[in-house]
Amino acid sequence: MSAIQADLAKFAGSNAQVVGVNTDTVFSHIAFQKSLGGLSFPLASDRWPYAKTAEAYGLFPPTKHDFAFVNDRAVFIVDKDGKIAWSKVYELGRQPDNAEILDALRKLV
Amino acid sequence: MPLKIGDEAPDFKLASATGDKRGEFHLSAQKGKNVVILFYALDFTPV
Repeated sequence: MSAIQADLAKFAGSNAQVVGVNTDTVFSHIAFQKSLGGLSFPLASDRWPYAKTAEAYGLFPPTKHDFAFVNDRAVFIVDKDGKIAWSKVYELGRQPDNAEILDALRKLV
Repeated sequence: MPLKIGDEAPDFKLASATGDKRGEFHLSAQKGKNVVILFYALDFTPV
């Protein structure tokens, strides 16, 4: 998340809103943001019904790891018309490559 | 069925936090912008 924050101006330059999503609570998100020194993009709470959004995106139940209660890690780019433009599912511990995401965004403009 | 490129993105409206500010994130309210959705595992993990 800190890596995304560091490049946030580049994402904004590609007319992109960034949002993080997992099943933790909003209270957890606030504390997590504090621990990172604050983020200026939202972290959303897919808490109840549990992981419903991750399920809609095919990331829950997980297929990439053995933690049954944790959604798979992935990045989706939704274009300005609300269509899926790009997606990639990652191994759990793998940090997405910002350059790759920004490259995909540039192709949309 | 896995989502494919060009499919309508499933809409969602979730409670959210930006810094210490609570709010709501609604995907379909972002039309006109590209949206990068980062599904991540757990808060307080390094990646």
